[in-house]
Amino acid sequence: MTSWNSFARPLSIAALTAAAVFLSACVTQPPRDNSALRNLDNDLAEFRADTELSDRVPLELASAERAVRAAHSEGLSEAELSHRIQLAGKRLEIARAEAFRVQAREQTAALEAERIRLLLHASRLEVRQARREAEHALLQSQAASEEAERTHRQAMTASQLREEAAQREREAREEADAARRLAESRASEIELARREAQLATEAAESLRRRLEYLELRETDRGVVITLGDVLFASGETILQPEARQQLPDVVELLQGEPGKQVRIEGHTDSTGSTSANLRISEQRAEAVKNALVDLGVDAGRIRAVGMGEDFPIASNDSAEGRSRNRRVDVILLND
Amino acid sequence: MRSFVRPFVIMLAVVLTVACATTPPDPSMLNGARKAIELAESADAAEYAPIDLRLARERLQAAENALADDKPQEARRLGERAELEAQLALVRTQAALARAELQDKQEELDQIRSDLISVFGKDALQP
Repeated sequence: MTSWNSFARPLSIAALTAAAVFLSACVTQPPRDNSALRNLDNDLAEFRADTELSDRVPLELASAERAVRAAHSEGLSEAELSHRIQLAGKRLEIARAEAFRVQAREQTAALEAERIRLLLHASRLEVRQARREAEHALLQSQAASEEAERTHRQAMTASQLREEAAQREREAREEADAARRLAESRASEIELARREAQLATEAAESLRRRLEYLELRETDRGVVITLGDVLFASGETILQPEARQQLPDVVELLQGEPGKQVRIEGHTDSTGSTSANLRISEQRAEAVKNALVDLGVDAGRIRAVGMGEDFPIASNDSAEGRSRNRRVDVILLND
Repeated sequence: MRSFVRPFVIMLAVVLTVACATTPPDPSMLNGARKAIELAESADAAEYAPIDLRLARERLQAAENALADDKPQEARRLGERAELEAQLALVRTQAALARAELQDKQEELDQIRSDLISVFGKDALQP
């Protein structure tokens, strides 16, 4: 028996141990001494404690916590447990990185606010400085403007003086113009008078010349104008060209007394027959009449007659006497 | 009798075939991971969180391999990890950009302060 006992006891112990092992293996998952899971829990606790970060990412923190809980699920296979621990670890890293990102952005926003504050401050400083400079400039410009005012007043006076002078000059110029116009008009009057006088003189002179040139005699019958024998060549009854130059003066005299009748008498010297002389004298008187009518004297005023050799004004004994007797008298008859 | 049995047998065969064909891998299972990686890439994670992005890509590749090997469980887990790794890459990128912006702002502020002092004197920062 001892031998069985001594044999059976170790056997039974081994059997019990084996049974226990089997039982424990089957009934419960062994409470694993999983360092990876513990580390995960520690990481989560640490992150949660760092509220400076974790408070900024509530959603990501919740995701990480869910993932950690999922890793703590009962009855996971080794592979699934390891997988879930990995996932939860990534979730935690994501939460931490997101927290850093948010933190950086918040700090950036704070710096931006500070930047804007500083810029506003700068513009306020600029305004203050500009105002100081403006006040300084104002003081300076007030002094300057008083000076300018004085100068301006002087300038005003000067310009008024100039204006006045200009006015006076204008007036003087107008007066001078008026005087000049006056003088010109006076001068033209004088000139006119002078010219009139000159014309009168010339007319008088021309009349005198004509009177000298024409032989005029006052007789009982009227004024007798004697045209010399230059009018006709000897024995001719046609007016010579030179005679025509004298006739306008005669016409002028006749037209000066338009109401008076005109008698034209032809005379000859005693050379040749009496009848021939009568005929020649008549033809010569007629030629002068025609010439005067041609020059505008009314033919109705004129009567031409041949007087022959019977009314000499000089002796027929000398050539000069005979020349004077060969003549045509134009008589402006008295009424 | 035979005409009843035959359609039933055929239908059963079809149903079984379809069931067996769909059971293996649903490629849309990894869409979440793919989308997250795309987002991280477009946010320039390759520059600011290169390790996280690389982990995510390799994990996605592994998930696709698992899917091809008809290990949907493993593929799901790899896909989920890839997705979170990509998200982490994105957030770290955004955090890095935010820190850079913060630094710029700080420098700008320092410049303004020194400008103020040089223009308005050393008391310029007093309120």
